[in-house]
Amino acid sequence: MNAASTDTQSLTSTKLDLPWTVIVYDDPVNLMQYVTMVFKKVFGYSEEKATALMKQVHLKGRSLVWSGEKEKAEFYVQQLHSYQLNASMEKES
Amino acid sequence: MKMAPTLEGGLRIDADSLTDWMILELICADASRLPGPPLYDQLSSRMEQDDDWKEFVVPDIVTQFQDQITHISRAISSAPKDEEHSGSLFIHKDDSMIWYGAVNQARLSLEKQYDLSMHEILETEKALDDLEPELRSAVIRNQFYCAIQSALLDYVL
Repeated sequence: MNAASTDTQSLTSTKLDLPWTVIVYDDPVNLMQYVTMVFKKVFGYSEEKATALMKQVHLKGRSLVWSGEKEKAEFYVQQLHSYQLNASMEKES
Repeated sequence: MKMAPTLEGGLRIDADSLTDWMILELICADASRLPGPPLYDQLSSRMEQDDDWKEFVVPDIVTQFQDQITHISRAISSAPKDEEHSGSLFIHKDDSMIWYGAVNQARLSLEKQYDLSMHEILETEKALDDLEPELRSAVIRNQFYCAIQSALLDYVL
């Protein structure tokens, strides 16, 4: 007679956390040249990329300027606020 | 009043009269008169803030904004002036972001008070004459502050 045996299976799934996005909103005060300079300083972007993002902010009212892990997004938003830019972070859906 | 870059990479503002110094002092007055919630709350209005953010991030930035105004207020009041109120104000490269930030606060405040961006089309000399004195003064101050910021961006920052 065979003893009853229990077969245990474990299932491990790894789910990647969704990235966070940093968004900058347009405002009527900050100069375009300044916004470009801030993007270069905060994110280390090239002149071309920073200018393209600045134009997106100006023309579309907002621009997704960075995405990645939460802690870094918080750091970037803090920096953008200290430069008096209107910014927020959201979890990518 | 004259403004010019210096050989050391800064900016120099030459004020020739008491009126010039009063105009410079208005930067601080305007920056301190932002209507509505504090500047930080306005900049972060779309941001969900947890308790850690409110405790560790917000106070530093609020202090930074206040320090910008205090710094340039001291620089203006302590600048050497002769008997006829002529004198020079030097914005050193190391202080340029502080100046830019304070002047930006003044412009944000004027925009909030007077909706100046709605009046951009009125900035011709004739149109300016037609404005109410208070609004005209705000438009001219905003143009002056914008000129300081442009000079800082072009020559210093």
